[in-house]
Amino acid sequence: MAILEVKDVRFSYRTRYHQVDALKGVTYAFDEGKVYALVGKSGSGKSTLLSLMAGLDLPQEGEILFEGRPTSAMNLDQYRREKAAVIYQSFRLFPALTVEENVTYPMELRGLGGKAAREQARALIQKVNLPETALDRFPSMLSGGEQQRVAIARALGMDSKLLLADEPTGNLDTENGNHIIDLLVRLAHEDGYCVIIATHDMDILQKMDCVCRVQDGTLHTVK
Amino acid sequence: MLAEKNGLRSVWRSKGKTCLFLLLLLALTAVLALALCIYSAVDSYLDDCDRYYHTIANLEYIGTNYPDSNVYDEKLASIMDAGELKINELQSRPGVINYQPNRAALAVSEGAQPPKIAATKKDAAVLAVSRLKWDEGTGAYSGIINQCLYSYEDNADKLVFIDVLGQEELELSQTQTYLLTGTFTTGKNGYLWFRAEPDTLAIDGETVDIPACMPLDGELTQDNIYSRLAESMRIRNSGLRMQMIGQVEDDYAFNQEKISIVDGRTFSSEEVEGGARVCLMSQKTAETMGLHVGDTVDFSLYYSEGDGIYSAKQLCNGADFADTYQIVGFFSDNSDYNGYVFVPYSADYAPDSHPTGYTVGQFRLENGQDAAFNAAAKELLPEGFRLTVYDQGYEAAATPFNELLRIARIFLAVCMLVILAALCLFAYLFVYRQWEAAQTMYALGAGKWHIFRYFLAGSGSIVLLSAAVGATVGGLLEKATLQMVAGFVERYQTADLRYSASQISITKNLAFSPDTPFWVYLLAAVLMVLLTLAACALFTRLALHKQPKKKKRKVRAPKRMAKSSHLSGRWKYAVLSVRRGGLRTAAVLLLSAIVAMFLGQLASTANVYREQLADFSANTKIRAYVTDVGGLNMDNLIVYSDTLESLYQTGLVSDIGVTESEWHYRFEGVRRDAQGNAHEVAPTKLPTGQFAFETFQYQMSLEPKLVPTNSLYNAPEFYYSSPEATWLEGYDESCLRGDELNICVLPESFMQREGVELGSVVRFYCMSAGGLYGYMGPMDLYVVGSYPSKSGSETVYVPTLFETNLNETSQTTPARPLFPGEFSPKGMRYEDVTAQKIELLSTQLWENLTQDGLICFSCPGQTQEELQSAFWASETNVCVMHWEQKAAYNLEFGDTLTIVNDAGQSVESTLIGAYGRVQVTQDGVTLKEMGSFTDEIPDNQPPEGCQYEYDSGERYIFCAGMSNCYTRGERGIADGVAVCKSAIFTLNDATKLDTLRQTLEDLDCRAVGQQRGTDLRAPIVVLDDWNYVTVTDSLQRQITYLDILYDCLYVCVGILGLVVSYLLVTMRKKEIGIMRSLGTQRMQIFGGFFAEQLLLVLVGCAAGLGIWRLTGHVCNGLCLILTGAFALCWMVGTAVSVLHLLRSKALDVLSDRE
Repeated sequence: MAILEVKDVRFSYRTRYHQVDALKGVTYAFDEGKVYALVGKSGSGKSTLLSLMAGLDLPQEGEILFEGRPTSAMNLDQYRREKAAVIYQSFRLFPALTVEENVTYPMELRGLGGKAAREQARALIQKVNLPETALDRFPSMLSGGEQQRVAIARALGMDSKLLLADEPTGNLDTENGNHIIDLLVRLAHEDGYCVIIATHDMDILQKMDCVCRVQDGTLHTVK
Repeated sequence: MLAEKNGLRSVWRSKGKTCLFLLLLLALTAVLALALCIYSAVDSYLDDCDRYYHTIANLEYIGTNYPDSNVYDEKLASIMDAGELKINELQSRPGVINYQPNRAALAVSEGAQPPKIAATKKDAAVLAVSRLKWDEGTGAYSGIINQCLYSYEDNADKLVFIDVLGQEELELSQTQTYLLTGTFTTGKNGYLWFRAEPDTLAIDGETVDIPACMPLDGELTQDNIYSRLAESMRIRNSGLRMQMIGQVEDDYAFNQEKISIVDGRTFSSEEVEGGARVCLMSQKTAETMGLHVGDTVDFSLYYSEGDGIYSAKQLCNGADFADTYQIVGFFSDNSDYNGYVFVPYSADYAPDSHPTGYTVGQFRLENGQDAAFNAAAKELLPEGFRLTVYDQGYEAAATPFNELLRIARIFLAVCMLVILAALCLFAYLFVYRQWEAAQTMYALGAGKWHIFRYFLAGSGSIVLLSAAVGATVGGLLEKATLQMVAGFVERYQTADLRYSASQISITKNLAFSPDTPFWVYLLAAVLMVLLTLAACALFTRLALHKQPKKKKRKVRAPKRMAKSSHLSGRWKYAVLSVRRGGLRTAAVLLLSAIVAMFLGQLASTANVYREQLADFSANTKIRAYVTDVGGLNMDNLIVYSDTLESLYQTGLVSDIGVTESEWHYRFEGVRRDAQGNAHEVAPTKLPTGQFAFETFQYQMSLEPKLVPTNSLYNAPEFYYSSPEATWLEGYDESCLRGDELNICVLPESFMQREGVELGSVVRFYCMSAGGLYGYMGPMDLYVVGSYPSKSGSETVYVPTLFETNLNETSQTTPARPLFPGEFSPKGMRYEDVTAQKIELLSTQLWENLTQDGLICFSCPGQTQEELQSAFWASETNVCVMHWEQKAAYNLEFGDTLTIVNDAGQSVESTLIGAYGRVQVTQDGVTLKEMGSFTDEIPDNQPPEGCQYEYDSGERYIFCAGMSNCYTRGERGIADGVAVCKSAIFTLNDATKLDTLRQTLEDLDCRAVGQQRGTDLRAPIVVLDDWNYVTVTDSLQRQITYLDILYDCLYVCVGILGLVVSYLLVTMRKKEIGIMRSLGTQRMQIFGGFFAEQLLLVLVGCAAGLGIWRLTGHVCNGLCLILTGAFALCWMVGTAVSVLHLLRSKALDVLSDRE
């Protein structure tokens, strides 16, 4: 069973003067244990689709089903808190919190706090190949690749099998970008995550299990 | 033209935006035009006020005969000669435009006789009289006037009765002709009465004494001193007072509209500056003299040196100056000024530097500077001088407009700031937001000037249209706006100045009828256009220099590694955010602390002026006095004591000081010295004849005054000085209000001259100012105080009970009890004497009783002197009673009587003597009348066959030292005297000033210049509140400004809290976005931010208040409330900001979309 299904999703941006149909009826199903790539030109609608899958908004038409339940029937905050983990191009870490606190933040949102959360954070940090010493550092003291790893660790800390990444290598050099993609692929293949990556980077497509092109608001399977 | 065409095209194609900009600039122009219109109208009105109103300050000396303008006061002259009056310093004070000293000369126009009213001494005459005969009935000589060497009216060949003063011993011969100098007086019949008095003439610098009477031997020559004296008198009575002035409006009489020009014109500036020979004359005088405007008149001027212009002493030496004057105008009829001729000052004149009258001079002041000058002058003026400011109502007229001008200035400044801000906004929106277009144009090779023209064409077209329409709209709204201004002025609450000393001036009214010139609107429009173009040019430049990419800001990590809080959830995030906020946290803390301290400062100073005002009011005593219609005189008034009683009953005022009908005294001698030794004093010999008695009364009327008062310090003589009185031990100023009747306070100069000491009893021959109808007689007074005389007069002050005392002692049998109903015996040692009448008399009465020879005293073993001394010196109460009474009740000397009054107070009094008139009779025939002191008669048996017959009548017990045995009840302000001559009272608590003003109005009291009310007897009252009103007005203005300012500051601080907290949170939109993307609950986000900001602002404010307190300042309730309000605003800003971000879609927040 697909962990996430997108059914005839439509979404438009309206301004005073015109309307932009970002998504014109997208249908797709995402399974656990696979890495998906969403590619497309700028303005094709891939980020909009990713945002809707992340629960940052609801589709205007159609529906997104998580484990069979439409997101419109869910509390979106809760959905984002428990179901959809997102990794951003600009990492979006709390600058005032240490790495450990950034990672434990979603755990605490779920009610998991104290020592257990810290131990889990330590494990997640190790999992994303960061040294334990990074735990007490602030994001601003880390490199871009390290910050993205922290972001992945934080996403993993959400204990969700859905991992959404919006241009995760956009702000990284090639080497760090490859490491991050490898990490995400490994998470999918080894730990069974459903990883959906929106990207422009054609070099990573070979590592993807599925590649979907978003074009003019529609989605086509490439691979 | 391409740039302009494109600029206009862009304006035209964005019609909506252009319309908004047009409306904005139109509104701004209209507001600016109206602000300038108000400013211009108010400023113009104040300029008109400055030209219309003339403020002067009249400097006067309050001398003995104040306000007589014809006398020469030697004390004033001596003060001026001694340089105590620092006119130059006063003249150099800020706000003084010029100073006009009171300079005058006697001006005589040969052959022209001014009206009688102009003559100052019409009764003076020099006569040649013959056929003199002593007339026993009148006590004067009668004679026939042979010749009037000088008399205002020709009385030749008329019968005259003559009293020659100072030459009473002179025996005038019936066959001799005599030359006499003196004055005619009013007699009781149709005859002429002439009082001959010695005189003097200053001939060639030497003073020649002229006897009252001198035989005329031979022909009367022109060189005869009586002829010369007559000539002096003629000159004096045919002379006018030539008053030298500057501009007429600077002179008191013209300024206060006592007189005004009714024909012709005033002096021109050139005439004033050049000292032209032009004059202004009374219309009435001119009519009498047959003069018209434009006529010329020859005047001979007589100066005086040290005697005043109306002294005839020096007039016989010829005129000091003569010239022809052109009459340029007539002034209105006023009996006080009909004898005046006004001329401009000229260096050619050299009049006496001492003024005639009590006006020293007049200062012309800048309008509105009167209060400052008055305050400065008070420091510089010697005692006895008074400065009265007359502003013609400038203050009342200009104050609201001055306030309005200040408001208009502030409004204009605010307008300009708002306009600048709005224009910046306009330029930002219109120009800067098009920075990409600007840079594109530049990149395409368009020159900068082209780009400037592009933007200026667009903005210029908008602003030109809007400025033109805006200025027109402003013009259309002008009338309504200025009506609003006039309404404000009408509603303007000026300080209540009823009865104020600052309001004794006449009030002129200048209507507010503004006419705004066209240039005001043109200026507003041009200003708007220029400012708009300047702002657009500036922003064009900025747009051209804008960097398209922002530099990445380097984030510095906190230096110190902070451990995670043990808290959880929103509090954890809040605490961590606070601890690691770095500059952000510090900024909030610092800002909160500074704001808290700032608010502490505001709170502590907000009420400073109010407290100052309250303190000042509570500690300020305001004196008020009753005056005459002109507001100048404070003495010789008619003040009904019942009005004062009513005022006193209100409880508002205290220290009501009054003086009563004046007396004149002649010192006869010391009756008892300070050591207790009695002295014989020769009684004043009264003339027997009627005319001689009148002359005696006349002479008495020239003697110094004896003034009954209840307060020495509040006597008119001391209104403008502070007497340093010396008091006999046990006495102070309150004794004048006490129960002792026959006490007095003497001038030190008198005491030194006559050798009188404190504690002496002096005898004065007294005459009430009423003369014929009043009391005349001797009076013994106990000297309990002395004072240094300020005015040079030697006034004796006595208690207000003085008249009561005179009434008692002037008759052998008292006409009435001293204090009716106040004291009656309720008990003595014997019950059956309760019906007896007991009178309290003071010690002096003893002597009066003994003097009249009808009473004898007896006390075994004591002489009369010893008995009297015992009576005088008694420290305990002693008494003397009628001998028959003593015998009837079987009393012995040394017995103690208990006397109880109605109030239940009792006093012990020891019987030390007895009195009585005793006749030794035999068979009804009086053999001997014994009225002298003896210790024999009462104790001895009458001679055989004879018997004693005691006098009948009422029995009294005379007590000494019993004044403390009763409490005086409601004696009243003036002790039963219906009319006072002066009154002064004090308001101890100035906060009740307005209540007092209302009370005075309720009592129908009049202010100076006010029409008479329903109560014709109501006094004219002046409140000496100049200083108080000045200070409180200033404080009140400060309070008003501070209230407005502080309210604005409070609002600003509140807005600051709202905006800064809003912005601080908004700046952290990214954080909120992350939280929301991670699914953090909205309440948790809100709680975290709210808690963080609450923590910061509370800690910051607490720290600020702590520092404020530690630095010795007070944190009052207002400070805490204001700080709390700031914190609340801060939290509201935070809440609004967070809620705003939480209400937005998570995607929008995350994508940082506008």
